[in-house]
Amino acid sequence: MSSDDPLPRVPDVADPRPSSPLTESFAPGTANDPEIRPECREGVDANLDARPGLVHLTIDGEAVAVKSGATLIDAVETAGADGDVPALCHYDRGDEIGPRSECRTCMVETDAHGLVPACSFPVEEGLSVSTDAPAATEARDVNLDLVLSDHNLRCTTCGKNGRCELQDAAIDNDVSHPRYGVLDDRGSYEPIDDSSPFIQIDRNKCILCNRCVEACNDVQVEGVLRIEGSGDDTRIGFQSDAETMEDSTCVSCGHCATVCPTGSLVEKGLADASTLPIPGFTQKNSVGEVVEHVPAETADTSDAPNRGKRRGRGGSRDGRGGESGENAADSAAESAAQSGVAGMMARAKRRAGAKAREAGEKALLTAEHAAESAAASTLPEGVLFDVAKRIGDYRLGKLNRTETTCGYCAVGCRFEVYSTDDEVLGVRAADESAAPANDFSTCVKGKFGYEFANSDGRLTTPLIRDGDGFREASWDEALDRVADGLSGIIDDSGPDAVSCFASSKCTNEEDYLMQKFARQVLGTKNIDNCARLCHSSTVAALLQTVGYGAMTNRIEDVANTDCYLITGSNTTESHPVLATRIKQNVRDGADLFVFDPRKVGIAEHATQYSRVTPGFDVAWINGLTRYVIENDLHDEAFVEAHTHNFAELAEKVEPFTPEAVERLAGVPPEELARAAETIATADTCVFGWAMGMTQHSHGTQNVLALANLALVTGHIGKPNAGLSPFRGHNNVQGGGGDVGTLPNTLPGYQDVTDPDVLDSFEAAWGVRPPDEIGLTVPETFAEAEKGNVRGMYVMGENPALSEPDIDDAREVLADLDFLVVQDIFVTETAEYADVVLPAASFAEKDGTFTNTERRVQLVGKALDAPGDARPDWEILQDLANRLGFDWAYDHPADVMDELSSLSPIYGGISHDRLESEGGLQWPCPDDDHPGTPYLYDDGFNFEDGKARFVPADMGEPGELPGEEYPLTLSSGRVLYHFHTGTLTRRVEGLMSHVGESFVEIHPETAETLGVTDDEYVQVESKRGEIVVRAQVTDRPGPGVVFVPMHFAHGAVNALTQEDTVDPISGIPEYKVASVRVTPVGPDPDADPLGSASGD
Amino acid sequence: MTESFKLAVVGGQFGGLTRDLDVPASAPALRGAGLGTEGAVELFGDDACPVAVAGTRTKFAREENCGRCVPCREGSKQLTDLLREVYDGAYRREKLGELARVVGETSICEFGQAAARPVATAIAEFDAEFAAHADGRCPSGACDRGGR
Repeated sequence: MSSDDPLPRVPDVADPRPSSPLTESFAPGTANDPEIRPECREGVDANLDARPGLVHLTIDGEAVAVKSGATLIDAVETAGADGDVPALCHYDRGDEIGPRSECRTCMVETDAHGLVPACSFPVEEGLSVSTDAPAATEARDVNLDLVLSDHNLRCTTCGKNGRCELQDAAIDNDVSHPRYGVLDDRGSYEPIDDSSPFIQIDRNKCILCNRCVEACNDVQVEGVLRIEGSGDDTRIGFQSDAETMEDSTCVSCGHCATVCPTGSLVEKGLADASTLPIPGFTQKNSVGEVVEHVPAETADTSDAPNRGKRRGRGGSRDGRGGESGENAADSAAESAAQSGVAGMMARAKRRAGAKAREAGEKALLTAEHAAESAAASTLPEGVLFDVAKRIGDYRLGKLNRTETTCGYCAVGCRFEVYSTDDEVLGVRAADESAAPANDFSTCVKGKFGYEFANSDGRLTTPLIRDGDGFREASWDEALDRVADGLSGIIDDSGPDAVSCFASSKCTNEEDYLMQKFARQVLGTKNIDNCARLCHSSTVAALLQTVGYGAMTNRIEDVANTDCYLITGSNTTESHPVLATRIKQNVRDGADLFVFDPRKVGIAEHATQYSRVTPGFDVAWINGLTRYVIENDLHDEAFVEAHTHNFAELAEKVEPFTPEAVERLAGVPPEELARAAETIATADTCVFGWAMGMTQHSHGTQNVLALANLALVTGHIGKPNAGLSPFRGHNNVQGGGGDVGTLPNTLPGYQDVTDPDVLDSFEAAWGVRPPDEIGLTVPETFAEAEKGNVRGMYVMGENPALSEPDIDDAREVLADLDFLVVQDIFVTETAEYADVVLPAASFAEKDGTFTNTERRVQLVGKALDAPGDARPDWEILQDLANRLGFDWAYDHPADVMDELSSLSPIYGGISHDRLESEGGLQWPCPDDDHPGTPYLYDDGFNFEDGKARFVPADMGEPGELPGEEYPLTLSSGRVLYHFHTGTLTRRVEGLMSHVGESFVEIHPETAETLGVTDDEYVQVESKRGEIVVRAQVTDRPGPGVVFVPMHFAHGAVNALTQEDTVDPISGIPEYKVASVRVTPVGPDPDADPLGSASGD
Repeated sequence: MTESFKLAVVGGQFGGLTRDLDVPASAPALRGAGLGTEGAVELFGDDACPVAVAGTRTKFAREENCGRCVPCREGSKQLTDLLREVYDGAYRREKLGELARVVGETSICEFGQAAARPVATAIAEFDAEFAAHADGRCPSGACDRGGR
């Protein structure tokens, strides 16, 4: 130390961190808080049974008993004394949110401890609690008034009017004149942040309860929101340095709006649903300044949405400063490829609207502000509450509230849809008991993705081909035409010249009727569905090894296991709510191993992420199995008691030494060892996978290898463990297989070649179903190319975009003699149809979906179908009756009754039971059976009850990178879109998150290719080429590129291979293709962006 | 010694205001007398104004609180405003007392629990000076001089 420093002093610190560091990477927003009383958290834990025993106490003299570990608020609720205890910041669902205990409107008096906050104070044996002691009442009243003092009390323009917890509390507690007034100093208002496409933030109404922050960090584990500032400046902000919601890392899951007690975070669709219905009386006008959202183009507003344009998320935000949102939208629309009269009129309409709005707006603003201050100065706040609440109740009462099951992915989230007869306004949590998969959780699609239902592009009337286009037709004419077209082909070429495609998006009832229509009415053996293109290899592999082609366990088990092996699943984007449960469990200590060629979102949470070479998965999975056996880590007793063929397995995996695995799949030996040891020694383990395993030329082998690993380690047939294929479509489990929409099985996976099975169907249908195995989807296309299949009936599918090598598929469709497409839009497939039948979307009909955990759940009708569109089951019934049959179903419930009578695994399922008991998991053989939470606890689904090891063979991808096409292309999903994007490309907010196709390229690869981030590049395979925007990122490995599957422009399936299919399941190899990438350059010869690939 | 000072603040920034230091120096005794237990004992002479002393400390609480709990964040704001109103001619003793009590009893941490102490003890001990302020007069003259 130098002599210049004579005195002791604080040592030099390089970074003194005078304030909390901002970080783009994830950090829980409340992580710097000390854990408040860990015992309190358990109070709201669903697993109270873990600490048995009751605690007895008295509330206002009344004796109550509650579970130990509960908090006083539970006891107060039990005693029914909670009406006077607002507890504003307390959230009563789940155990992730609170107790934060900050509003102090739940103070009660105890004999032993004096005044305590009920929401977080643990119950104690013998405690005497008084809610109406003067000190407690005073504390609650003063604190409630203090909350109101910082609240912008504009109920009549507030989006939460009528369903606001602060409003309810104020009314329940007879607040008339809040002691300290309310926030109505216009000068101190914060602008409304309306920049997100889905969620409006009005910080003037925020009571800083922190629920949204915990929902964001602890429920969704997304780490976007935080509380920032201190004292008077405390506000909800962002963990990144973003200032607006749109610039933040928000994924629009909507949890924050779901849990917000006031009008601070509101679903935009509901923002005006319960306000005073006078034009101009809006939250925006009331507050004044607004940060507006700049709308993106959608499939409805542009032929090539967002192509060649800069917007949003990380891109330039110049549009905001100079141009107003309106102008930006206008000029965007103008430069879009919208053509002809329609385009001109649309632009004119927008301009006229903008002018009228501008003129009207000023007048309305003045009126609203005048009315508002008049009301504020003449009415006591209490009266304002009552008036506003009455308006809110009245307007909310006019809305439909429908409990239903989500129509996007197969997690099976349930919620309440708020709608008018023709528009979905918002989605709110359903009762906990009605939503076993998700409780109050949602993802962006389930909560906000409904604009498609009101799209101008919806089919509202049947269409019949007329030259190059279509003409509108009546139902009678269209159905006659379909009946003639199909029977004509059958008369000429026999029933097997016709193929039917069912849909994993339709209900179980509708898909049951589709396969019945094929087998009974048309007499064809050819019935299949798009599950062929996703999990058919899973089904094939699981049927061989364990006996049922389905997930063995519950989502609950996935949420509570000790260890995960997740591979080939981009869980956070494809199954967001399931990923939420996994992320929470990993945060709480579970081990997570992710093996994937791409460092997907879930890998960010992993204990260990291993990058693997695409197409060589059998190598590392067999390698894990070998390591387990080699080191005696396998469950010997389980293998001995419950399996066959262990010796064959041991022999087959022998060559997969750690060195071989590293050479083949690129997994380092130490990573292999760590994963194998942890998985084998964990008490329970869940093996989760999706398309990254199945969509390979050896997809079935991949899944066999996984099944073998699960069996060797004994992680199956017990709670919190099992084989968990994460299924894609809302009803792929039911409509994509359970109900017989497969060429080889009748409903309930009954063999089409089994005479006894055929007897029972013949008895019920009066017609014997064809006893041969029919054509799969790819086989249908191959046979159609040869002219053997001449007609197709496609219900709710889009093979023109989903088939591999779409150019070829489109030629086949164009050459068919007769094509019927039944859908809600003119899809890419419908463009080739002879007849297009308008159907109802999942929001517009009753029925059931079966989710990924085999749970059959009710779907409710929230909207009327537009125009003449009808539910698929009604259309099929009309067609069957036109073709000489006598179907007479009055309601989908009747169809379910027939299905359950013919399919033993659905035997005990009926709409009545689902209504009264909630979802049921098959097998559910009879009316008294409670359903089956997890499979195989008393043996596997074979005669002898034993599972079979079916050793997996190593395969090679159909294409390996070479000199001409040196890169490996992989495809997959993004969070904001679904399947071929038919629905999601029409939702403005989803398009504003991800508006167009792109290609992810590793920085090293990009440098070699001379590609810079964000420029357009051409991606080319042997089969075709697309032009997409480059994203330089290290998510894919060097030499691997990724393109999402949802877009019609830059469609990845212009590049994928149709010839390489899995020989067992028939699944095409979407996940591997060889490509080359070249920059388009600043001045491409032709406009490469507007032209749809493949036309 | 009582001759040589007008008031003392016992217990640091958020200590209690008192005219009388005849309290045993033990935590229970100090607490019983409504005084703080940590930090210094500050002595003020005749030129000090208890309203200003309490006001400065309440304003400090308003500015420096962490912002988490309602009684402390919003309570300190309203306490400060109520003290301002005293200067504007309205001395709402009950309202001040009620608010100080709730802030002190229901704040989450020591900061808020202590923050109400200067006001609570000031109105208990120097009621007449508050009333005088509401009449537009500062007996010590400190407020007229703009000092504290």
